[in-house]
Amino acid sequence: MKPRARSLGAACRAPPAVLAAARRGLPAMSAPACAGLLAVLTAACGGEGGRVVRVGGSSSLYPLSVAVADDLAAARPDARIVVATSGTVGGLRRLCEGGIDVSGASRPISTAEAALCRAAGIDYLGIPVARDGIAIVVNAANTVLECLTLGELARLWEPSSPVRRWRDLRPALPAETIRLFGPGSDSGTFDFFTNVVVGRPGASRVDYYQTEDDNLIARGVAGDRWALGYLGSAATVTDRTVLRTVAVDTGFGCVLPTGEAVSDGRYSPLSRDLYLYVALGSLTRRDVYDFVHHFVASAARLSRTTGYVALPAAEYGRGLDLLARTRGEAP
Amino acid sequence: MSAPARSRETHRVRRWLRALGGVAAGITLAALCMLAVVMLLNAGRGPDAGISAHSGLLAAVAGTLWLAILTAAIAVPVGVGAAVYLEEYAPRTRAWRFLASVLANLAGVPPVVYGIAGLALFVRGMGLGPSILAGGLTLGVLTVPRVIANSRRALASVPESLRWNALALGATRWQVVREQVLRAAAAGIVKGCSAALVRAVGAAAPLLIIGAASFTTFAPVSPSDPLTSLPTQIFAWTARPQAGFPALAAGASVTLLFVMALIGLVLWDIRRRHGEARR
Repeated sequence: MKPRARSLGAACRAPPAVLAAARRGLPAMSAPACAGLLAVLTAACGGEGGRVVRVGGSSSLYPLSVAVADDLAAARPDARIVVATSGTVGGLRRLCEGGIDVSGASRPISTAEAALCRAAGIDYLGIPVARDGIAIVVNAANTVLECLTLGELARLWEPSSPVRRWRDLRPALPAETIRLFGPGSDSGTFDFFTNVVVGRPGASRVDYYQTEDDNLIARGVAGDRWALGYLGSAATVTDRTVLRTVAVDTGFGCVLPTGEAVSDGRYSPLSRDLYLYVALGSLTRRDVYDFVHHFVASAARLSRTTGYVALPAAEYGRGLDLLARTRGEAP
Repeated sequence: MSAPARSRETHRVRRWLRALGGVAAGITLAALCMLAVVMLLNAGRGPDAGISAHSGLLAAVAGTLWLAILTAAIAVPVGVGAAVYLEEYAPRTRAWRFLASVLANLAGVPPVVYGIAGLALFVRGMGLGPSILAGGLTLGVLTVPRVIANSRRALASVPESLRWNALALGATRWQVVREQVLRAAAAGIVKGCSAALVRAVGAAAPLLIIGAASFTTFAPVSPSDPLTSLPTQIFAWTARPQAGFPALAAGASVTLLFVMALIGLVLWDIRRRHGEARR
């Protein structure tokens, strides 16, 4: 009888729920849970142990970045590297906000972006790491189109283009609607393509499926018989039965973005260098330096398996020199 | 109708219903098995070259387990506590009705919207970055209204007479809640929490908005590590056009099914030991 009397008394004197809970079993139950949650929160906030090399930026460079990270991790299992994509524009913006350490870029940094970096007090280093072509792709089942001229491409992609059906592009082609896939405006590939083909960076029709992820463009075109898209050629290293690359008449006849055509300049208007930008503040960290160094040192070897074209060896030598010099200057 | 005839009638109806339920369960199970077989066949085709040949799931599985633990740690105490307060303590005023309807609506808000809120609040606002912790908090917030809704349903199904009897015997409000109501509703509450949790663990959209990493060289060991999870990994691999990745995505899907089944099994065990046994 006694215990009940006591607890009844307690309940009468104070707000019942709170007090009774405080006296009874609830604290015993929730104390470990609270302690656990607290530990988790402190672990999260004191994140010094969780140093990570954060890589972002152009999806055109993503397969190579992943290959380099994977290669480095195979040699050094303690490497902590994360690779994400956000397009060249998003990547460079995040680099200049201090959100990531390394950003891939499918074009050199623009003056506006450089100013943003300077304003934020972030210095950076840009190193060319590989080359690729912008590939024009159609579905593998589309056998009617072998080659496009730069003029036709311009007519197809210019702002408010009247081309809706394949026949509008060339009278001999079928009357099917062209479903277009291409990079969005946060993409370096978009900036480059519009500049070269349409003549002004950023000038493009807008009624097409836009994404900053080259991989999604490839998947989209692979899934639609009458689709057409443009993207970094590394993303076209895929099943030949679903995707076909169309040759472009660049003035040297119809040329495909093969390794030779990209490196000897026959695909030149649509081939470009891909860059790695790294914040100098991050580069003083051993793990970031090792990743960037490994990137430049192994880019030529890994380019071959991932569908890129390696730069001349002298370019990589210059990149490594540049890195070594920042190492010397760093405190 | 005489009494035995009626009893025979209900007996027949019950038998029919049981058979119907069995068929429905069989169809569901068969569909699930077919799904698993199709995915296993795809996975069996195997990565053939390059990076896809040694891509693994350790980081994604670890991320998903972290997320499950964090989500449960946030959603269960808050959700069940709120439900107990709303059902057992709060006076039924106009404010109560307003709050209850807001909570019910929140339970129906699509996960993507929680993802956007999580991005603004946890990733940017609190500066957590796209981390496991930010993902767990977002999934936790997303799960709370569902836990509240399911727990309230369980509490409301406890007969009023149980409360009156206990009160009449001199029990305090809290004693009534703890010894009678919670015990009677335990099975339903655990079941409701499980359903909400499993749904949160399978969600990809809010995590994609927060910014899940598609490639890491390490498995997360603390909540401050970059966000990885099985559903987002499946999405990332599905997006890759290169050979080998469709098979990886299929294999990851099978793994996700197994992990969800495992979590479900753990929750079922909890339910068995703490809920239904006491009834």
